[in-house]
Formats: sequence, C-alpha cells, structure tokens
Amino acid sequence: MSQNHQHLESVVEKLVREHFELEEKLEKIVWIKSDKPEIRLIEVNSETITTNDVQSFYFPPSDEIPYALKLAEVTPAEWQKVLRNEIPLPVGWNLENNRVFYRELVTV
Amino acid sequence: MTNLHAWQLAFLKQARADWETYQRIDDPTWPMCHRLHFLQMATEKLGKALLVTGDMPLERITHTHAAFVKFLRVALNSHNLQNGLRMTYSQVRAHFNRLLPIAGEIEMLAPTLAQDGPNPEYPWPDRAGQILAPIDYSFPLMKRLKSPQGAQLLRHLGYFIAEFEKLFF
Repeated sequence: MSQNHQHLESVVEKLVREHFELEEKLEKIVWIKSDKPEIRLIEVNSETITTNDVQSFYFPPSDEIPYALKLAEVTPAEWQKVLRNEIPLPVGWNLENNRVFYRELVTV
Repeated sequence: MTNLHAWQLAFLKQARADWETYQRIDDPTWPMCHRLHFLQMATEKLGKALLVTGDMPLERITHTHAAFVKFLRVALNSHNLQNGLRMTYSQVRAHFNRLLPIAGEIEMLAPTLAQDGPNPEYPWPDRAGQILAPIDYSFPLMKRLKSPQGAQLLRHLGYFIAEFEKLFF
C-alpha cells in the first residue's frame, strides 16, 4: 500500500468516526474507492429524506480534509435499491472496490 | 472551464437571480404564492449548484426538485462553511437540524413534490373537492419564515448564495 493511499485511508477513517459519533441514525458508510485523489462516501442514514437518487455533493479539499469529498446520503431502503441496480450510482462510481464501515465496528 | 463547471455557474447564477427576485418582492403587497415560488426556486438551484460537480448524472439533477434539504444536511461538511459560521461540525449540525423542518416545507412547495397539495404555481383540490388557486391560499409557511428559525434559515440562504464560491469552490 502506498504512502498516499495510507494517508487517504487514515483521513477517511477519521471522517467516518466523526460522522458516526455525531449522526445517531447513521447505520453504515460505504467508501467507494477511486483512482482519483478524492473521497467518495455514501452514508446510509434512516433519518435522511427519500429522493430515490444518490445525490452526491462535492466539497473542495481543505486544510482538515486535503482531498475532494463527494458525499451522498441515502435511506436504508434507497441503499437496497442501489444494490438491486434500481437506483444508479453517480457517474464513474461502482461497488467493485469499496469498504463498508458499520457503526458497531467503528464506535465500539 | 469544464462543462460541469459551466453548469454549476449557470445554476448558481439562476439561484442568485431567483433569490434577488424573492428579496425584491418579499413584501405583503405581493401575493404569497409568488414570493414563495421564487424562494423555492432559489433553494432548489442552490442545491443543484453543489450537486452538479458531485458526479450525479446531469439529467437526474435537472429533473429532481428535491435538492435543498439534502444540501442542508451535508453542507456542514464544508470546512469553509464551518469557519465562516465560526462553528464546529457538531455545532453546525445541531444548528441546521433545527432549520430542517422549515427547509423541508420550502422544498415541498415544488408542485411535483406537493402532488395534489398546496403549491405556489398550480391549482389543487382541497379535502372537500373544492379547487383552490395558489393566489387565494394563505400559506402557513409564510408565518414560519418569520419565526426565529425561519429568519435564521433565510439569513443562511443569503449567505450561501452570496458566498458560494468561497464556501464550496
């Protein structure tokens, strides 16, 4: 694993921990890995609203997160639809290379 | 300039024009429906301006009307926004959570989302089957916009729209 990837992974893990700590209804976070120096996350949250889309919002790199962040929030039902290919992922995203963070495993 | 960046700037420009129009006509001499129509449109395009660079297919962005509440739910991830509001992530989250119900009401004004309910553009039937025109309807949201939460939400909206490049570019 390259140093760059290790750094990216540590930033993702920190971000994931923060979000689980603050979002009580956040069930899991799917990190969609990419060849680009950016972080793509899908957060499965029962508290969010249903749009039947994976709406990924872009945030530029900052001092705290030195990578572009593309973040989407979906309901658990929407996530199931994504898995069944009933809701498309954003362009260029796929589930072939991903890592899922579960609340129980991150916050214990 | 990439094509996506051009789309982003176009959504932002239209959001600003809608917001400016809302501010100009936000006066009791103007019908509630027209004031709320421009407010709803400004919020929708603001959300889309941030969505368009997030890899979502453009045709899905242009066809959705639900972009504002999700925008508000995730915008707190902008460190520039946290710094601009001088709040931490958790403080912004708690603050925005209080504003989400009113944001949701604004979003639901879009006729597609309102379905056969009150919206600022098209007539709808009430429970008794009487057909109502938006121009004759007294939108309860108007009063909520005058509440402390409503006023805060509008203040933030103005800030997001005015400082979008600084916050999200």
